[in-house]
Formats: sequence, structure tokens, C-alpha cells
Amino acid sequence: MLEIQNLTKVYGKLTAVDDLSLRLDGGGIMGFIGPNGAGKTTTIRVVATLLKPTSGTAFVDGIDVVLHPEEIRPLIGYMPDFFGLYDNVKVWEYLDFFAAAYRIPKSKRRSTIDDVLELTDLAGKWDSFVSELSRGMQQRLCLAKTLLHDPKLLLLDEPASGLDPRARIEIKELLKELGNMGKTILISSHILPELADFCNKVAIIEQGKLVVSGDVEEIMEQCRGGVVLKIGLIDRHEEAILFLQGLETVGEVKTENGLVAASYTGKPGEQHSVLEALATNGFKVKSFVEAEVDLEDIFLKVTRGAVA
Amino acid sequence: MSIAQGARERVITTIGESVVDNPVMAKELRTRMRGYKAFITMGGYTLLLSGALFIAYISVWVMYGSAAGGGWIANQRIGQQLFATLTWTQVALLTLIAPSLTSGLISQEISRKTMEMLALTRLTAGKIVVGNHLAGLLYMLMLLVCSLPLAGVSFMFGGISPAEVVVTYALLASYAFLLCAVGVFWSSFFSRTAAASGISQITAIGIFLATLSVGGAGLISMMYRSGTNDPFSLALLNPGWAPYGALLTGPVSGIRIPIALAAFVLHSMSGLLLLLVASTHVRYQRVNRALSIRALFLITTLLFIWLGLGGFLETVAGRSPALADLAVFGSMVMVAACLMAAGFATGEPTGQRRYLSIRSAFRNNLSGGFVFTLLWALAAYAAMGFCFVAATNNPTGAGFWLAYLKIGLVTLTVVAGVSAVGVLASSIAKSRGVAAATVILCTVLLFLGYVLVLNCYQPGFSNPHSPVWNLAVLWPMTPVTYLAEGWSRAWPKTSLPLGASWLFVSCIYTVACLIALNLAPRAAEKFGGVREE
Ligand SMILES: Nc1ncnc2c1ncn2[C@@H]1O[C@H](COP(=O)(O)OP(=O)(O)OP(=O)(O)O)[C@@H](O)[C@H]1O
Ligand SMILES: [Mg+2]
Repeated sequence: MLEIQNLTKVYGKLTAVDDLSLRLDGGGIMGFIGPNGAGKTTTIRVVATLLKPTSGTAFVDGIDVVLHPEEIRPLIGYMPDFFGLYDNVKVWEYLDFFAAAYRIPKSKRRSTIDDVLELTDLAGKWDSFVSELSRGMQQRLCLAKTLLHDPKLLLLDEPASGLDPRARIEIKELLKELGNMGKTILISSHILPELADFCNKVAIIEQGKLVVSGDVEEIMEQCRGGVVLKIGLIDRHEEAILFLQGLETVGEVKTENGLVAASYTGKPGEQHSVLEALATNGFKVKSFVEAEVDLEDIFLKVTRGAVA
Repeated sequence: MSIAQGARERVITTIGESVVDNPVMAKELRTRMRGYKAFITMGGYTLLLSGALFIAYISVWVMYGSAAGGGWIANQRIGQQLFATLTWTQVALLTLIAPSLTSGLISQEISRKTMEMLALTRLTAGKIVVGNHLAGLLYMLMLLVCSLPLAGVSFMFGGISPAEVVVTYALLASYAFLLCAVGVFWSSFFSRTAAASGISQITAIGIFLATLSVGGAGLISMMYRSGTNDPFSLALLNPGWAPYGALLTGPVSGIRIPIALAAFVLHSMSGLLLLLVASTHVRYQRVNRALSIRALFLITTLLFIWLGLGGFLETVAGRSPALADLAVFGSMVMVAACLMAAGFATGEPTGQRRYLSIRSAFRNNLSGGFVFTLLWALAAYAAMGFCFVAATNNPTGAGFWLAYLKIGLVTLTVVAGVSAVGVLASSIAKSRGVAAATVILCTVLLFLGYVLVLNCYQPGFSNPHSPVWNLAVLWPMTPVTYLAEGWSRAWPKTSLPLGASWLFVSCIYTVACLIALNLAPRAAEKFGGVREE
């Protein structure tokens, strides 16, 4: 569906995107993750045919975005990170304008607009002025506009930025629904946990270079390295740390939020030996869990070097 | 209130959509007609016109009223006077309003970041440009329609025929068409609305003043000169003059042309040309309209030359064309072509040496501009020659045509030299604007700089043998001025015979042209030059 090949974009002396290659098959939802200035927006704008790459190219459905931008445009729905809205225009007029611009036949416009309003939960707002909507509603309206022509590939550039937690959840629900509808989605963000539960692919980009990409689970596996045990104790923290450091199956030990975090280096499936050792030595263990490694940890782990 | 308002919106929008299915226009009209803004503008417009009419009526009454015995005087003079006042006021208002209706539209789309969203839809650049233009034009036409009842008032007094009213309004409409296109044109160049509006307004006022004076001179010469009583063919380019002769015809190369038609056609063609160029500037869209733009440019300018010069030689000049006219118009063609090079011969991809292929002159927005400029200069100069031949009292004689050929050679080589500088500049400078500015600067220096050199020569005061005067050989106007006898001037002594200056000048500029063209590809390799974004 989407294939980016050796994409490079240079602004003067700055290489914003450096030899980036990516693949996203039909129906996939890819989280495109990187810190500020990593080159996410630049990459997405190239795919959206709004920016000419310095070298390399991208294909949507096998069509070259550099050579045939006109053929790409009907296939994609691009939602920019900063979007403009017309003032003095009502919600339905805004959508009607874009529907006409997408050459949706007049007879179908009404039902299409109703559909996207329904989907984005804006049906009650159809007669309001666009400028009077809240930021979250405007964001959803922009998404509704993006969906009008039923694009195969959605390019969403930080659709949740600037929203309060509640609005974020709403956008997230909406994206999940779009995923269920079978759309291919590339969604950029620097806020990771948000993407974790509905993306099935991740690509992490840093200073224009692709750091890692693939299935969410695979990457988690790759990055896991060791299991971290989080142990809650009623007292004797310092002693427990010294004790754990003495154990053969435990590597680094530190304190995190009042819990002792010990990285487990022993055989998989035998973590309970650590608990047993603690108990037999009279430590009062309150809790004992294996820490979940989530996307955020991976992100921090992968990008640590460059950010620091 | 909201029902009436809704109805008004719906009516206007429906009219708009039935004229042309253009979402951009529909959206613009819809927002513009919303609320009371449009209503207030309409009211203000008619109020202003009524005020102007009232003052005109009072002043006419004061002037002629007592003679007619006071009271209700309904003579033809008043009708004419009122209609003229109405038209002039409308032209002035149009000049201020029309460009401002469109000058912000495209630049706003860019600064508001909505242009990229439009680009991704299936709207073409042409539709965006036409939609914005029509939105402004329809609004302006609506204001014109509002003024019709007032035209009816002046009509009641007599002195003007229905045909004159119709023709005057048609000219007002075509003038509005042109000015709205000016707004769209500049709007497509700037992403800052203030800049686009400012330049549009200046351009509109420039058009107003230029056409005002041309029409004034053209009509005044008709009224006060003995001999022919014909108006100048371009007199009605400013529709303010229409009430003084909307139905007149003027002679052009022995044919009689309705002067209103000439103005109408020129307004429409130049407006269309501006829109075409604007459509190649819409961001994120690639459009190649080289063929239509260049062909329309050629046709419009040739028509302009024919109507203007052909009409001039028959009316304003009022005598058989002389060699001096050749110098004046020859140099006009030369300066025009050199300035034109700023737009056409810059930004050319210098890697491909297609400078002299005629096919490339119409192939691409950027390439072939050099050839096109030369072609244009040739065609314009030929059109000028045609006007001389076709003039009723055409000047024949070997002397005239020999001078014509020599000046033609000078014209072509000078234009080639300046255009080649454009090609060279655009293979060095990063931006096309800088290259264009170089060409304009070069032209100004060539034509103004050396005017100073020659004008410094004062017989009796300056030393006629000073070597400084040899610089005159670089001045493109030297052979033109010298060959056109009747152009009285005292010449200093130069080492090169002035009678052969046409040959020197042609050689110098040909060599300059060849050098610049040969340097261009190398310069492009080194500096990169202007790139299409
Ligand atoms: N038009 C431009 N001219 C010059 N440099 C640019 C331009 N656009 C982007 N850049 C630079 O390119 C780099 C990548 O920018 P980009 O907007 O793609 O980052 P991003 O990953 O989207 O960041 P963010 O998370 O802040 O949106 C940045 O260093 C930025 O300064
Ligand atoms: Mg960004």
C-alpha cells in the first residue's frame, strides 16, 4: 500500500530526512514516532505530494508520488499538523465545499456528509460556524473532511496534538474505528502510549533516520533484553538492595517510585526463585511483579543516545 | 430576518452555481453574502452614487438652470452630465473596490494553510483561479446592477440613448473583469495578503490613470483639432469616457472600428491573460500553459499595437507618419521587449540549449523564453511596420524602409542581448525575482544611462571632440535617433561614424548575446541557478 524508498530531504545544510525506507501493507496501522524535529512531518508531506524530496521516492498503491502526484491525491487523506479553517463558514458548508472539490456527485454529497459527521460524532454541530467549534471538534471536523472521498490511505500528522485527555480518547476511539473499517493509516506522534493499543506497526525515526520499524510485538521482543522485577517491601530497602545485588540471577538493582527494580538475568520462568530467596531471608515482601515493557520504554531506550 | 437572509444567500449561490459549477466561487459568494456586510456595501455604493448625482444635478442647475427659466429643467445637457457623473463615480469606485475583492483570496489560502488542502482535492489550478475571480466579479456586477436605477434617472432627462447606456455598462463590466483579474494575478504571487492588496491597488490606479490620459488625449484631439473628427481607437479603455462617445467608430489602418468594442476586447483579453498566468502560480499544482499564455500574450499585444498605433497614425498624429514616428515607436518596441525579457527569459533551464528552437518557445512555462522574446520583438516590430504601410497617408520611399530595416536590426540584437543577460542571470541567481530585477536594471541603465551621456552634450559648451561621446555607440537609441531624420539634435564628434552606428550597435549586442548564452550553462553548473520549486 505504502512504500517509502530511500527518501532524503535536505533543507540547505540540514538533512531533515535521511535515506528513509518504510513499508506499510494494506490495512495496517503504523505509528510513526519520533521526537520534535525528527522529520515526521517532512516524510508525510512528501507522501502527500506536497513536498518534493531531494532524492528517493514513495509509492502509494504502486504509483510514484513524485512522478504522478495527480493520481496519488485521490487515494490519500492527509490531515496536517497545523490546519487552516475558513472563517464565516458553517460545518456543513465546509464539508459541502470539500465534497464538491472532490467531485462527489451532488446527489451523493448529502449522504456522504451525514456519514462522516456521524462517524466523527459531529452530527449535532452541522449548522454551527466552524470558528465556534472547540479545538477538539475542529480537529475532528478536519478528519471528517479528510474522510469525505473515502481514501485508502490516511496520513495523519499528530491528530491528537493540543487536545485535552478526553478529546484525545475520543480521537483515539475514532481512529480505532477507522482501523476496523479496513483503512491503511500512517499516524505520527511523539506521544507514545496513545498509539500503543491500536497500532499494529511502529516506525521510530530520529534525526531523519529510521531507528527501527516492524510489528509492535516484534519490536517489544527485540528491545526487551531482560525482565525487570518490581518488588515492594515494607521495610529494610537498603538491605534488600544489597542482598539482591548479591544474588547470581539478578543484575542491576535500583529504586523506582519506592519499589525496588531488579533486572532479572536468570532462566526465564524461574523468577520466583528471587521471591523465595527474599522470603527465606526474612524480607517482608508486599508486592512482586514483572514490569511490563511498553512502547514508551522502547522509545526511550531506542532514542536515548541521540536525545542526550 | 434569517429567512430573508437565507433566501438571499440561496438565490445568489444558486445563480452562481448555475453559471458555472465552481465550489470555490460558491464558497466565496456564500461567505460574502452572509449577514449584513453585503447589504451595507450595496447600500453604501448606491448612496455614494446618488450623492454624486445630486451634486452634479445642483451644479448643472446652477449653471444652466437660470437660462432655462429655472424649475424642472429637462434638457439633454443635464441627462448627459448626470450620466457622465454617474459613470465617472462608478469607474473610480470600481478602481478601488474591484481589485480588493480578489487580491486577498489566493494569498489568504496560502497564509491560512488551506491551499494545501485544496491542492489535494480534485480542484484544478484553473478552477481555483476562475472561482476566486468570478466571486469578485459577480459581486462587482451586483453593485453595477444596483446602480442601474440611477442610470435610469439620468436617462429620463434625455440626451443619451439606450444603446449608449448598454455599451457603457458593458465597458464597466469588462473593466471590472480586468481589475478583478489584476487582484487574482497579484494574489497568486504573494503569500502575504497586504503585499498582494497593495500592489493590486497600485496597478489598478495605474491602469485608471494611464487609460484616463490616453482617452482624454484621444477624445480632446477629436474635439479640438481641425481636419479629421475621429476619436482615437483606444479612447474608451477607461470606461469613464464612454458617455462622451460610446457609439463612435475610429479609423485604424483605413478601417473603422467601434471604439467601445476595441476597449471591450482588450479588457477581456488582458484579463484572461492575467488569469492564465495566475493559474500557473497556484501552489502545489503543476500546470503547463506555455502555449496558451504565450499565444494569447502575442495576440493581445499585437492587437494592442495595431489598434493603438494604427489609430494613432490616423487620428492623434493627424499627419502623414514621419521618420520621427519610426524612432519613437521603434524604441517603444525595443524597451517593451527588453522589459518583457524579465518575465519570459528568466528561469530558463540552462542545461538544455534550446535557445534557438522555435518549437521550444511555446512548450514549457520556463524554457524557450529567450526565443519567445525574440519572436515577440520581431512580430511587434513587423506589426509596427504594417501600421505604417496601412496608414492612409503611408510614407513610402526607399529612405524610410531602409531606416526601418536598420532600426529593426538594432531592435532585434538589443533585445537578444538583454534577454541573454536574463538567461545568464537566472543561471547564477537563486531566485527568479533577482534575475528579473537584473534584466530590468539592465534595461533601465541601457536606455536611461546613455540618454544622460548624449544629453550632456551642449553644442558650444561641451567639447565635441571629447572621447566620452564614443560611449554613445553603446546606446541602443543612437542609431534609432540618428536614422530618424526630423529628430533634431546636435551630435558631438565620435571616432566611429554615427551614420554606421546601427552596424556597431547590432554587432556589440550580438556579441554580448553570444557571450552571455555561452557563459550561461557553465554558470549554471557552478552556481546552480534558478530552480523550479
Ligand atoms: N521548510 C523548511 N525549511 C527548513 N527546514 C525545515 C523546513 N521544514 C522542516 N525543516 C526542518 O526539518 C526538520 C524536520 O522537521 P519536521 O517538521 O519534519 O519534524 P517533525 O518530526 O514533524 O517534528 P514535530 O514533532 O515537531 O512536528 C526540522 O529540523 C526542521 O527544522
Ligand atoms: Mg511535525
